[in-house]
Amino acid sequence: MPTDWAEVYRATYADLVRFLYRKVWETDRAQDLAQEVFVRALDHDPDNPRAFVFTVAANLARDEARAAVRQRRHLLLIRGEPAPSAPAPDQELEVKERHRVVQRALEQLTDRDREVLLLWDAGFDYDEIAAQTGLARGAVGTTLSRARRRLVEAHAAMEGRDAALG
Amino acid sequence: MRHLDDGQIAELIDSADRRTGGPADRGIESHLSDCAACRERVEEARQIAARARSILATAVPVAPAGTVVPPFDEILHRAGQGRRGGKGGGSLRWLAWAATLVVAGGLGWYARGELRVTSPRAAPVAVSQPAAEADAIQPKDDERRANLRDTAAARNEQVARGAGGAVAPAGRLAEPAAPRLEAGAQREGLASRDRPAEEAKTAAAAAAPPAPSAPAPLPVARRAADSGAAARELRLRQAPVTEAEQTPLTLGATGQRADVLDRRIVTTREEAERVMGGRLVSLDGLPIDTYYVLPAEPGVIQTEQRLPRGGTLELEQWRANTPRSQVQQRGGLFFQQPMADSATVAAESLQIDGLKIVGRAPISADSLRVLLRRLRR
Repeated sequence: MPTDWAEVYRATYADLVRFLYRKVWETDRAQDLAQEVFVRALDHDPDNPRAFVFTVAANLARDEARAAVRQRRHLLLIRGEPAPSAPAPDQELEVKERHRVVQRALEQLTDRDREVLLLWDAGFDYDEIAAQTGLARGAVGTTLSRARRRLVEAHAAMEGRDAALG
Repeated sequence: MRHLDDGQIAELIDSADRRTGGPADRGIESHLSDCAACRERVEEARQIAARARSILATAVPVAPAGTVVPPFDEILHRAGQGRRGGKGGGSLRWLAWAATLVVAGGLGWYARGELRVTSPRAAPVAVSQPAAEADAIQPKDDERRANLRDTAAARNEQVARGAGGAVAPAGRLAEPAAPRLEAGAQREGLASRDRPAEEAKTAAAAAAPPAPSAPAPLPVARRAADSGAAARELRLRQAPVTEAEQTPLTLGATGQRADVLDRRIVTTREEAERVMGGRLVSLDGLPIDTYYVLPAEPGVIQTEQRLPRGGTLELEQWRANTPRSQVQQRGGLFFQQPMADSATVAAESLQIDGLKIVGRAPISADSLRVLLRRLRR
């Protein structure tokens, strides 16, 4: 039976945008990439559509990160333009600051730990995480435990430093 | 049981969170009921997991109201656009590549000045060398014909005298002064091989004897020891001289040739095919100047076909089952002599329907190969 991509889209889109956002840290870009994931997925009929779209998303985000290095200046310019429906400036500043701390905390993790952590947060079980990342099934728990601890510690360190700075 | 490791604890709390049934190993639960340290670690891991999830929950995208999940039709529309754009772009890219290759190939071909065949029948041929260079290789047609007409007339007269009873010993059919003159002309022609072409032409023209007053017998039969060859030679000589014999004999498209006296003109194609023992191949659309046979190598025929822009295509052919001499085994009978202008002469060998062929022409090797591919019986 062919994949009902419309149903997968409705059930997965929000999780996918969130997953992508924690990689690109741009709402519009995360949404755009999420749609691009489904555009690419339409031609396929995978056994596990949800895992498939997250795999495509991870690859797209990786490509996006490489491209972002080249386009950083241009992206900063775009980000500086206020969107019509954006939050109020003070709220936006607070949200941005929170996201910046999380982003920096996540950057303290290794690529593999970060990937496992984000997949776990996206709702993947251990088998799916193992299939997605290539880890052995028995190593997922250990990796995930380490990733969560490092994230919490790094985040606390960031918040403590920011509080100390004032 | 040993204490639980981090992986077991992580799986324990995550499976509990998902309500998917705990770890298969019920020993873990019994260990936890007995081990306070592991219970403490599980609780700590649960708090860390909850904290990690809450940290990640703060980093969610800020989506404008009403655009959280765009309609799926947008995806379909975007996919359609992508396909159209992709296909069009791909086609354009392929066209661009194809055009680039065609232009590059054309420029390369033009730059090399390769021979180009545009009609299978008429065979218009573009010779790689400039016309001036081709002229330098060979004498002008009129001049060549004048020389050879004189030579043919002298030979007719010599044959007539021989038929009248004064047959000279094999290998020396004519004596002495005129042959010496002719031999001198040949030596002059050979010696001039390394001189500039103009000098060679002048020498050949000056050495040609005047036909009416001093008929020059053709020096023949260098292989006099071969009596069979001599007999065939005589028969050929007694054949009536036709227009074919008025064509260039001693000077071909490739310049002066030392072996020219070892071959004999055959009157017609039928005769040539009879000598060879099969049908000849030739290039459609190019006039055949001459059929040659070599008495020492029966069964081997050489034809000369004029190229449209000057020069001659020489084809040496023999049946594959013809016993071959050492010379033949080296790849050609008439072509053993090095050419003064060898840099501009190409030779190729091939086999068609049991016929072995060696072709030579004052054109590039690629052009010659193109020509030879069009050979037909």
